[in-house]
Amino acid sequence: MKILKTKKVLACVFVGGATLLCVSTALSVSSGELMNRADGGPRSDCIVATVGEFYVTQADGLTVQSLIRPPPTSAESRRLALAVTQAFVSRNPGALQVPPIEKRLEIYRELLRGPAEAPGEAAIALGPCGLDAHPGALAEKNEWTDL
Amino acid sequence: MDICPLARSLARSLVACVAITTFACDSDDDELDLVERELVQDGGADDVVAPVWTEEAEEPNAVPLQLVAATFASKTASGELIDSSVVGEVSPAQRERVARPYQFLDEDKIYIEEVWESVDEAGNRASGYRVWERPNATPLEKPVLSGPPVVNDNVLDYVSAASDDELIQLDLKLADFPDWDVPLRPDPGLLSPADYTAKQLEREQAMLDRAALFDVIAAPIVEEVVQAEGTVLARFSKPGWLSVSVPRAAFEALAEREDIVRIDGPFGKEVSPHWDLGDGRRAEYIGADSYLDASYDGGTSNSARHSYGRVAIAINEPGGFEQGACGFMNQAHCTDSRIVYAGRCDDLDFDGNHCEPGYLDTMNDGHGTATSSIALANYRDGQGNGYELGDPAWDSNSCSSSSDCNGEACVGGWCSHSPTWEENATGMAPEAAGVLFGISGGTNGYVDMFDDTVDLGADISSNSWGYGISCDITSSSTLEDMIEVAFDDGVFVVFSAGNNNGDDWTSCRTNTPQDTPKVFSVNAYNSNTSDCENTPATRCLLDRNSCPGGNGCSARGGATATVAGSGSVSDAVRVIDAVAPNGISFVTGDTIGGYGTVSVGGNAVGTSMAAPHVSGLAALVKDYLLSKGSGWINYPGRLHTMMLLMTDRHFSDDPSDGSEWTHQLAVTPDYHYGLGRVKMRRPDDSSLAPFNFWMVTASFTSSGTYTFYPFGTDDLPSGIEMVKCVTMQDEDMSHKSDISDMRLEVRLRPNATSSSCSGTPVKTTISDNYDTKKVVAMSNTTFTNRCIEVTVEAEAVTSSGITTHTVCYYSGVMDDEEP
Repeated sequence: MKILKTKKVLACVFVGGATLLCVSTALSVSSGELMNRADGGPRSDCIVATVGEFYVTQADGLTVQSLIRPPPTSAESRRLALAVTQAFVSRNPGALQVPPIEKRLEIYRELLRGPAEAPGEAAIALGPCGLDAHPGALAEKNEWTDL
Repeated sequence: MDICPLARSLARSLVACVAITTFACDSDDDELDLVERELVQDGGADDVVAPVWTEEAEEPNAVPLQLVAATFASKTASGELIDSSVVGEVSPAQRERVARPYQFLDEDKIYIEEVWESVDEAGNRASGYRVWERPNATPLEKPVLSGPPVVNDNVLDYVSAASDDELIQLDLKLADFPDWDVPLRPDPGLLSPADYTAKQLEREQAMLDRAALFDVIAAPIVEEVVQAEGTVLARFSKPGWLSVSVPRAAFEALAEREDIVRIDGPFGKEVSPHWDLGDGRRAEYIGADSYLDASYDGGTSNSARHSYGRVAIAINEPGGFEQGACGFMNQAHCTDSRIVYAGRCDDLDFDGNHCEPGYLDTMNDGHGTATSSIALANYRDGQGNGYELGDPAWDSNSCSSSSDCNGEACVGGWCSHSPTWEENATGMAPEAAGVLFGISGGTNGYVDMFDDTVDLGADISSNSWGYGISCDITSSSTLEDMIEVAFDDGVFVVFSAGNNNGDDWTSCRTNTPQDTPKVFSVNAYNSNTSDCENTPATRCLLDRNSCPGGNGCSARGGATATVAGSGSVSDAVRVIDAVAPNGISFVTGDTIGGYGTVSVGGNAVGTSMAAPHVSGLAALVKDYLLSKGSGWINYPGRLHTMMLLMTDRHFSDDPSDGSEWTHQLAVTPDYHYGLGRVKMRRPDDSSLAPFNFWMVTASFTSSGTYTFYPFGTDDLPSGIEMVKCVTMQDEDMSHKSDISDMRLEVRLRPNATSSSCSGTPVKTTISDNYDTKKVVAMSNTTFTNRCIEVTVEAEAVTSSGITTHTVCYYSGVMDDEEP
């Protein structure tokens, strides 16, 4: 998967309250490498949210964006990456790992096969770099903060 | 927010994180360079030579298209992601323009959409998507239409035959009412809930606004109708038509109004409505099993359009259906129906809403059940267990062992049918959902079928009926305009071409609305001959004698059209898109309230039976692409063009001669066969390798040429047997009577490098005709170490501009061969 292969840790900030910026170690919020239980390995890309104990990263959003034609915007992709992760976690509360984002997307779409199968919501903890989410979503959940 | 200087390449502008680039522009170029190098090494989304636009002018100037966005992904045969990349971004506003570019040709930019997909012999699948833009030097002015109205010929005859106080039914098209511009349906499976809700609300509001606008514009007309003691029969705010009943004496005043642009009236309806159904799916015939065997069977959710959980085929019928037929079920013992909606369309309660939920099982269900079963029937999952259903080998309903069931399995206390029987009775898309509209009750009933098809978001509309001989490509009725709306909202509309003894005709003989360019019109070949069954490659001929009176079950295209730059051209538009089987055994028929009977020895004939083959096959193509995340297939025109590609190019030089076997056309559709017999190709079928598929949607507001390199400029791989391209014009005939003049040219060039495709063409093939469809095929040549260049040229463009779709593929297997 193509993600930023730099070893520098990235973090994100809001500029003007709306735009997500990722910068390198100087603005990093944590130590060199972040562990995601999903992969069990180092994640050097920017974390935009956590769902339970799992990270949703900018790379996840990019993967989602690369798989959908026509592609959603990067912001829409990140929100979708979050939604598919929420859906997975809420349906697998005891999961020790989450599958790769492309599999989570597949599972999410399968869940939408019928109205009775609409994905559920799961508790979301704050991520270290926030999300330039839909303003409505921010207000509704009140769970995102700027870094 | 800082924006990277435009001089920076797209490669570095937006990879992995938009904001990284933005920030790095100021502070961290080292990081930026690292990203860029990786992109180049990976050969990802932007590793491509840009297509070129050349405006026709005194000094033509070739301009590369500007990349807006590109995505790329590759997966193993088992679906594991190998690589992916993203460059740039398509904004929501750009998405609307990419989906329906023909609605935005008055703007200063034109967007071009490209998709591609390839599979190697190991089954690894790579796919990409690109959006380009170019300046539009000749933005169009949207026409403002006004009355007095054009009065259709049938109306004049109708009106002149009525007395002054006699009530007549008229359909009135409003002036200056916008074309279908409601935002396309969002996909909850491809958006977060918040984003989906916002877009869904936007669409719903647009629908309300449109209906309100319709009422405002229609108000003065309604007032005149009421004053004349007439009544409003129906309001079709989607296409902008008002159906009224008025005394004959009111006609002249209506015919002089400036706020009406066309008047139509009721048509006289003319409907005339042992190859086993399942045989047709086999590789040597249609090849649908290639999809079914890979589980692309219509069962994939299309959440962008509806929540049925399956691809949905809407079937419109004059009569009814055996609504509870076992073949429409999903589970063993005739349970769990896949019919997700049934609408009765004869306005039983006289409220002007013609189609309302209702039971469709009547005394006249044979035709509707047969056509539906060809598209939808499924007996593969034991649906028929425990019921006889016309199976002559059937032994018993209940059982304790196979000895009670003529040797077939006893499952859960019910006898199974033989696997062969189950396969033979199963149609093209056995997991698709069915939306049934029946008992039309008249023209407005048919119109409302399409209206509700849009509302329900069905994927495909299958129609095996039609009005009389027409051969007029203009859209001149509520029905045809409603079909235009359905197309513009993403519905693939299929019609049987008509049982008009077309094999004996050398001039146009097609019904209406089959003659509308946005309709996929299907002719019939006679599958019920030993020649066709045994030698399908060349001997499945147009049906010449199976319809009433010993006539051929076929139509003949060739409508006269006004072509931009050329004036009136006779025989210009082929109308026929493809041919499919008729003369089918094992279709499901009526039992009057039961589970249906599979007609083992039957012989279902007519183009009526050919059309639902295409409808079902289209569901498979949608299933495949949707399951790959390719929501672009929901956009208008794409599926139509894909189905044009799924043909074998076979035609007969003399359709009236039964000894004249078919052979393949190299360019230009045929008047009887269109682009040939339907023949499925699944892009990730490794038995077709090397296989590479590509599609582009490009628009014109003036004469000019796009130049594309659909498979890149690098050397083509070894093993390619053929290259095939198809172009379709999205001709909207609701406000005009002329069509644009297009040309498709494919060149095989010798000098292939990563940066260019050049040299004197080794081979050039051109499709240059007045039809709205083009086909080009190259074979019997060496493709290895060469490259393909495709030009789509507008030789002359109507004042409405033109949007085109072009699809190409190369394959290791010819398009009429079994993989």
